[in-house]
Amino acid sequence: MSFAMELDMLVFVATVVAIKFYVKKKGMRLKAMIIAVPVNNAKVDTNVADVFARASQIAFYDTETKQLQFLPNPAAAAVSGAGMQAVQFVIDQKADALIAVRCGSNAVKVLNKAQITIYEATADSLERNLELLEAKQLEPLTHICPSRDEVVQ
Amino acid sequence: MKVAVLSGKGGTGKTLTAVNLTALCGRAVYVDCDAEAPNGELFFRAPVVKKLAVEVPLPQIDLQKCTNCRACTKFCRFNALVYTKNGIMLFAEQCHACGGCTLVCPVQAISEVTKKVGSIEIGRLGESSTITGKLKIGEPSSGPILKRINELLATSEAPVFIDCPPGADCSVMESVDAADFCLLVAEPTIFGLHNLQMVVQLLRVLKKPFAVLVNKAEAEKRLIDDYCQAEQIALVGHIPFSKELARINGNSELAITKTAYREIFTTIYHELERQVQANA
Repeated sequence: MSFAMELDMLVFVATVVAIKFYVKKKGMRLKAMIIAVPVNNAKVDTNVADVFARASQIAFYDTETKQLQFLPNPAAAAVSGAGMQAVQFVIDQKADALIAVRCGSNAVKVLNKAQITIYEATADSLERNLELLEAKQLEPLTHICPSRDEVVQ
Repeated sequence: MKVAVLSGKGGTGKTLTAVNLTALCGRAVYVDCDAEAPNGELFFRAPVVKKLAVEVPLPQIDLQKCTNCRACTKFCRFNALVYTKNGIMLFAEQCHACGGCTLVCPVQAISEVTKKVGSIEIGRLGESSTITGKLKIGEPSSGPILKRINELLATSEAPVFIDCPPGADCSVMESVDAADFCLLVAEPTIFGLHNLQMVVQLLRVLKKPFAVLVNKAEAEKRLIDDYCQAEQIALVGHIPFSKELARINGNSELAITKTAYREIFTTIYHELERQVQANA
């Protein structure tokens, strides 16, 4: 076996390893997601809240570590601009997706800009919606409420 | 004297009271602070002699200069600015035009543009004038218009009657700002009493002297009278419940053109004047 052949072999093996590693990492990165869900309380069996901005808690679920964390929604009792504050909170928690019953159009604009996908909740419970999302059975949100500006126009 | 006429509950007779007291004075200023739905001008039909545009500053973000440091989004307590990794977004309808974001931006990426939120129309009729705040349709807050009206009122020497918006919110607080006395119109119903109490609470916080006027008064309905007595609040009079008066007012006509109502409003005016002087 010549030195050149050995080098070829080495390059080949290295390339294969690199590709495998890249694919694995890329695959993992695509799969790992933080899903935000506005919910009624901080219990595992809670339901998805009807109104995103005024939900008492927001659940954050990490699809990779399977960890579920509940954080109090800072916008729950905001005097005004609750929608924007809740959206900002979800962005700051580095969510990749949001599951909601409905959403205001201003919130949708920000979430789109922040590249956070919004899914429409089809079940009542938090757990069931997370299962459905992981099984790719949730559709993008269609229940978008117009903002005050849009109502006037 | 500068008297703000307010009520808490809508439809109790703020405009009825304010327009008729103004008309009774001969030389006075009627101010419509109900900028969302001004209707006092309909009673005077005063030709508009001046129209002022009311504008507010609105931030404009230069995304080329913006470093996404979030100083502005953290500063804005109305959540008008939202941070995303792809740039700051502005929601103009949340903005209260305080100018704070422009000040806190460390790289001067925020400049201000102006946005028209409404206008103020000044009408003149003989020695009296009307000042009408008009909020542009779709704008959420009449605050900037009312602030501007207060500036105009600062120099007025003629008696002023300020027709306030209903409720007990920010726009009402802004409307009573220039007033040295408040007249609370209330109807003798449970709802009327409840909302009167809200306004009383507000004026006590603002430390404004006030008195109550009962509208749609009926002899057996003493709800407001009893409350005023218990709370030691001065009563300046009663406007009796009358379908005829409702019809006149509904047609945007001044009630004081009829002798019977002129007498009622004259009595109210004198009692009001007495109260204003007692509290001066």
